[in-house]
Amino acid sequence: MAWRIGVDIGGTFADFTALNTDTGDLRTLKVLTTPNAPGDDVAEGLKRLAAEGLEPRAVERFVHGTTVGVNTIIQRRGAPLALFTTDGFTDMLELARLRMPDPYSLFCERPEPLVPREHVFGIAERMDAEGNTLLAPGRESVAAALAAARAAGAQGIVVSFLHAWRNDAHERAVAAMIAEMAPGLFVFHGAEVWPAIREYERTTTAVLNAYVHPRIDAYLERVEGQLRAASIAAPLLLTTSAGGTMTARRGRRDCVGMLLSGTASGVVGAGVVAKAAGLGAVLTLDVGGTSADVALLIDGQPAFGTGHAIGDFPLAIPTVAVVSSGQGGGSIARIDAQGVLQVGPESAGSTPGPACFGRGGTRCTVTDAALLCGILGQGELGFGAIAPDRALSEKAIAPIAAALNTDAAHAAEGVLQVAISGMLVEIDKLLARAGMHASELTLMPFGGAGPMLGALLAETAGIRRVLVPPVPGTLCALGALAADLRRDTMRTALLPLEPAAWPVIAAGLAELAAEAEGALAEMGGAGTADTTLAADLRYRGQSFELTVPVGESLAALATAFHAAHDEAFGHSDPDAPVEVVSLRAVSRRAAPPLPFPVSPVTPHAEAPEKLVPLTLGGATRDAGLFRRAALPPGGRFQGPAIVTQSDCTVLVPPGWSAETDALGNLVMEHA
Amino acid sequence: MRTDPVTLQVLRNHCRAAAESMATTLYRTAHSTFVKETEDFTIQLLDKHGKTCAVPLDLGATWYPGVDYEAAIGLVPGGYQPGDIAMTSDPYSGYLSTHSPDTNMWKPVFHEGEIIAFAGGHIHNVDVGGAVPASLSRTLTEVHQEGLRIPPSKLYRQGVLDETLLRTITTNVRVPEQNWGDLKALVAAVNTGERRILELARRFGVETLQDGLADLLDYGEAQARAVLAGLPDGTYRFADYCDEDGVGGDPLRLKLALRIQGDSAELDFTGTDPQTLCSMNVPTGGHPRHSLILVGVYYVLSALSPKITLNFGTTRPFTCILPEGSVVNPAHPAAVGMRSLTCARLRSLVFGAFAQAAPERLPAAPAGSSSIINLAAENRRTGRRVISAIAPIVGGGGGMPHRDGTDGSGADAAYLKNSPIEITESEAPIRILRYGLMPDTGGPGAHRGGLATVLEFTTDAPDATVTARNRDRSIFQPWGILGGRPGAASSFTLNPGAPNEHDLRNTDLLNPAPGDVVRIVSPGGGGRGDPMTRRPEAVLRDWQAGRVSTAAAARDYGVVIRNGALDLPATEAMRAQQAPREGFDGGPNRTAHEARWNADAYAALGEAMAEVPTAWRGRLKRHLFAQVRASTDPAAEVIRREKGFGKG
Repeated sequence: MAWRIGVDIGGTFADFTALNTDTGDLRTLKVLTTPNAPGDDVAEGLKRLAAEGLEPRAVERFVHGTTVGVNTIIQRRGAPLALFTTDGFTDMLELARLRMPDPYSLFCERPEPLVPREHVFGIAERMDAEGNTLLAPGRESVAAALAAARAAGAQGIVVSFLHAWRNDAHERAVAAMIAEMAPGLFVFHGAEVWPAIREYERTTTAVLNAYVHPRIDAYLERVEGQLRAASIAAPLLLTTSAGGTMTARRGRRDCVGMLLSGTASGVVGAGVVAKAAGLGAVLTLDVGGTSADVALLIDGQPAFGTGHAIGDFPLAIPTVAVVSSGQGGGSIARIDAQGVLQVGPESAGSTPGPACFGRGGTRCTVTDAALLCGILGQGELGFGAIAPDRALSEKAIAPIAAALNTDAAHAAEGVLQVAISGMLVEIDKLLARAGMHASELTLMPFGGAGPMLGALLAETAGIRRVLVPPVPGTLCALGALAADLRRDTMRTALLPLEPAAWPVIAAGLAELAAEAEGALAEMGGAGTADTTLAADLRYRGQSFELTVPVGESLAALATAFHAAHDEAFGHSDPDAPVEVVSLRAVSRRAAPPLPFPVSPVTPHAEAPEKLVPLTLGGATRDAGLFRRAALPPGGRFQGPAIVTQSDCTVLVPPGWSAETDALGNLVMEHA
Repeated sequence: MRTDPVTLQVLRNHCRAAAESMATTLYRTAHSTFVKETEDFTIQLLDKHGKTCAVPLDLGATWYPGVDYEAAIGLVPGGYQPGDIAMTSDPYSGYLSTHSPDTNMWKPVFHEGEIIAFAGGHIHNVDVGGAVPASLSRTLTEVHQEGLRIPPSKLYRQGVLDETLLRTITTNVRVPEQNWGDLKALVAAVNTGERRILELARRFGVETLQDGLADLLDYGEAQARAVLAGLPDGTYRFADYCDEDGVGGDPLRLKLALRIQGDSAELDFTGTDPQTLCSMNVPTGGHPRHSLILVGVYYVLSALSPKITLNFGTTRPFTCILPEGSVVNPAHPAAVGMRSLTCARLRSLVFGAFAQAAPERLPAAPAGSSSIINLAAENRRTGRRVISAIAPIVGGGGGMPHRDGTDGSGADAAYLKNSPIEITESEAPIRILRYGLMPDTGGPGAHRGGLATVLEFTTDAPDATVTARNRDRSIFQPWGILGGRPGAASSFTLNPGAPNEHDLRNTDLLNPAPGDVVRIVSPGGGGRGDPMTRRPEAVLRDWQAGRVSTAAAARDYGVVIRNGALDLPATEAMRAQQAPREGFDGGPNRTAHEARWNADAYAALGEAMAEVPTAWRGRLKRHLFAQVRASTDPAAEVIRREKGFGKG
């Protein structure tokens, strides 16, 4: 008998998913997170799984997604660093890309850089755009900067020079000098973390990596200790922002690789469910406390992108493409000076949380509104960890209801409507970018608050089908179990896409593939690696690129690029010169497949356990109450209905029907 | 309001979503890299009268959230049918497009035979023909030189493209396929808008939608009125200056009397200089709520009320008086291509007037001049002549009530993006020697102005041409308020520090020889509050970060730094000798100019202008400035002596 365990740490809960690979038995567990003692939540969950009879020695795979890195950045608790840049460019972090958030405001501001200006030192060195040395870095320049950095209390140094994307010899030379002169300081150089062209983005990515490195290192040490203490021999694997996994050993240096792993594994988990259900185009919706994250899946595969914000900073590494809007379960409702109802972006988060949680929150949130409408409150919340108090919600919404001149339930429905219409903005943008229509999509809601809002959002967005996976509250942990061991490598090329350049392109890709495969081999484990090659191309003169798979020939690559350009932007120009900006290789070793037990489907009508009052569409009416665990495949019922399960509540609005499929998904359709 | 407060917010979110998806469609399908890079386009969701109800906030420029299409819509001959799409690029018909490269487009949305709304937007075409590539230059004197102008006309009639109009466009521009590609993107955007508005009509019902759109304008108006009601009634007079009214010209004065009464405001531009002989004029047709004039107002409102709704309703409490024949209401055929230079000064003019109404709540002047630097040269690697946008050289924001101005960008320039050095050096024969913040350029103040940006580069190309559009503020500095000092002036220098150093002032065209070093420094932001009251620790922190030198710390702040630490007794002693500073400071050049060109002189200038036809005024101004320069008599006297100019 063998078990696989996936653990994902969120804002409020640590989610555990344990899969028995022999029986297909899937267990889920939530424990409260312990932000003040990171790792204790992991130990607690392991203890409880063991108490349920899970044999630690039988654990063959242990995959973990952690928020330690991202929290370090958001809370600004990372390592004091110094940054060495090319002389003349020491204000790079201050200037960033100039454009600021909220450009309409005279008071707009850029986030404080993670390395303050006084800890940035110029090194006299210069490389040109072709990678030729114009001025080699001298020891004196480095020694002087190092002395100043040490005096400033730096624990680590980031070395990032112009044109290191082309030739990182100067960066490596300076890193070696630092290692020799100051062996106590840790060093990262820009091209080592991610060798992409564009100095600000590359440098920021290296700074983020160094900033979180000591805390991640210490945290991984701790979790590995807890695994040993729990007698789990499987190596610690970490989920990555690219929807894969890596070993803890690699994660200690490749810290940026895991920064957005939480959102990525949710999308990977949704992809696994989508693929098993045979869905083509899926919009995932993960509603947490402060935000709603949406992503597109095509045939179970997520899209990738770069430049995703981490806290206030862009990350240059490829990441599962997710967009966020500022409406979550904890978003606060208020009446503005003109008497108009607003929801978010202010959020009660997980502390104090919604008023009904009774943890000191006094303002009405989306969760309170759902309780007052009658969507929540029919079953347990968060595996029984929270008992919502309706009276507190009523008190919180009273001033809003008074201003709207209505009762609590109708005011609450207004709050939900405003929150959902707010989520629509990001979804519409995402679909417009992808050139897709809502009617082609299935919405897959997950996270604690996704299933209660999913169908309402679908209706607003024009999506006619919603699929709720069996355990939507722990899809991230499921994604962790399903994620492949993965290594991405890249190199900036900046070559014309011409026959003369093809040998250089082919050789570069071969080297990248070897590097990625080598990293996989170093991470150990069984199975064969699958490597895919791609290139980022653009028409000459453009400043943005499209990633296109590389096949056997230059002609095939060119054709693929023109087709991709046409698909993405609605036009292409086969006669225009094309540039190869960068080359990429992705090597992965597939995770063992997850068993999806298929149950026989017996079409039948489900009868509700009882009827409960539900306020929707301006009226209060009876809704059928169902328990998810008691809905066998083939069971059909009509909305309005509420389905309770241990990790969340599903709303089936009026006008929707619902049916459990052979895989245990609840599939809703709009008439 | 006709709409309930829940439905209104839901509708507002839906309208915003529709506007964002229009903008995303335009951005995604636009052909030119220029449009994608600069995001020089806007999108509007308009009511049936052509008033803007909603705009996207994440993509595009910030100038037109309150733009009014009504006049231009009415100028299209023959009324509208379903499937029609109209456009204009003529700055003198309907005053919608404000220079010829800007094409505005709109599509009526029909429901059961009635127009219920319009979908609109604009895009800046890289080139529309005319005397110079890209169609813009300060050297142009008539709008006819600024390329093709299309008066309000239908590009599509009932869904059918007007091939003749399209051929006329493509025949008259330098890169026709690019213009057509970008126009097609705009067509796709207004079609998306039409579809989305019809969906809204189905979802909410036509009547609720129409009422809701009207209420959105009322909602925007109510928010703006609430802000105005919170400001003290009164008349606040302010003037600001562009360095030159043309190549090598005289100062260009913009004058504003802001009258706030209750919850409305009048912006009276009487006293503003006559229209210029070059292309710095701002075509408004005298529209009392022209969006281009109100851009500064949008910023002020957003500063006083964060996240305020911006739409046409926002503009209703404001009435602008724009004298005919002045630079803010030029008569045809004055050239208008470089109106963006003047617009930057119009914004600081508005900021200055409001800063008097609410000094405790508003910042000092932002740098107010964002030079767009381009290099044209042959790339040796590829053998091609390339034109590279190097970077916009943007200065800092003004000192704010709660903190220092942002360094190197901010305020009304915060929408601009730079280009990576690595990309620029890969594409153009250029070596950038320095790109960063310039120390000691932020206006000293209790809250310091943001630092200027410096760019220094050299090229080894034999045939390089450098253009620096929108150069200004090298004479008239960004002003400080409440005792704050002005931000440093901008500069443009060839071979700084070398024996052949040369001050290029406001030159906007340069042919450097191989090996020449070009340095451009933006203005800095103005300071706010008496610099002698700035916390010494803040000065020390600036010193540590290289923002303020040891000498400037002592001179500007009275702070003595010795061996890297504050000398507090010496600081106290030094500060004790300083008289407290308060009020406005526009810098020595402004003081000197206003000593010579005092109120009496400008009054005399105004009288002289009133006596001659519009077409003569620019020349008369030039003549009078020359006479005043040549004389030591009071300027007003000199001017009054010159009466009769232009009368034969």
